[in-house]
Amino acid sequence: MRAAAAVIVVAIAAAVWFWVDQAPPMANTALVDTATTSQVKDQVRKAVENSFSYDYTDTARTEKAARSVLVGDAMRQYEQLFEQVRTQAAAQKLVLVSTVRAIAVRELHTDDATLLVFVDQQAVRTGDNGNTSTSAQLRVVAHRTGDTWRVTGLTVL
Amino acid sequence: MNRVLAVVALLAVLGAGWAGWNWWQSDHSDDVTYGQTRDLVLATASDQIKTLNTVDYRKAEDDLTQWQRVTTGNLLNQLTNQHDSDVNATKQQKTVSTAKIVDAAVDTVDTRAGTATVLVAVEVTIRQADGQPSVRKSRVDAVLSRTEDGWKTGTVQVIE
Repeated sequence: MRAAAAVIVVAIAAAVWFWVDQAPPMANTALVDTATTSQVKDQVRKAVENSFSYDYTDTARTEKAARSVLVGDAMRQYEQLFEQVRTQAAAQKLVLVSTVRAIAVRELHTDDATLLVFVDQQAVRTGDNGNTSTSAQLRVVAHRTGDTWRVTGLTVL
Repeated sequence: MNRVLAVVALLAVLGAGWAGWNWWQSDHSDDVTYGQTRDLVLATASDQIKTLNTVDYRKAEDDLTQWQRVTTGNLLNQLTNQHDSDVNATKQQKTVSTAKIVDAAVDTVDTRAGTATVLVAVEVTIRQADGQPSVRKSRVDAVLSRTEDGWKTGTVQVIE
């Protein structure tokens, strides 16, 4: 009788201690969750490449691509970055091709991710055959709805 | 009464066992240790890329020895071979280089093979002799390997 009571007390004490000392659930699942990590990498790569590529003969395509993958702050930041391109595009007969050279997920929390993206951008002015290459580093914040990741934040580093 | 107590005691022990299992898992599951390795690799790569872009001609010997301490493999061999000429060149040109890590993210970690790749965006400020400091932003793909002394940088590829 007394033994049983002692066992109960010790067991409850142990359970409480285990519960209190438990490490918090892992916050960042970047790379740990391989499926989601590659999903967000693929989608953000496409989103960046499509939104930052531009052909003066088909400007609607870029607009449509940007509008489908960029939301909120990212759209405003994108507008600022791209305004100049748009005004020059027609005059210079500009074709811009953006390529993601490298991309990695820094943070992943269920439906929210932060990525580091290295982009190369090649601009061809078909008007005078000028050709320039630039590179950029972007921090991209993305949010998932259903199976679709959309870019909610864009920062040029 | 005795039987009731016995059942309660058994349940309490099972409950404690379950709590203990959860407690162990919370710190030792494969996912948790993998995540910890990722965080360690990120911090290590950031520190080492910073170190490998930092040198002051007034303490060139120390700084360039530090470069060797954070590297392994081919990069270590290369830095060891050119150590003396690097020290001389740094002193001659009165080079002062400082680096700031702008952002970094781990691209891959293979805990079994002990290798990892990390993307690092770094801003390097270089001043030589009495010239004006020049600031250069660069993008780096660093490959790290696990050694007896922890993770070290084996390759630094600047993505042009």
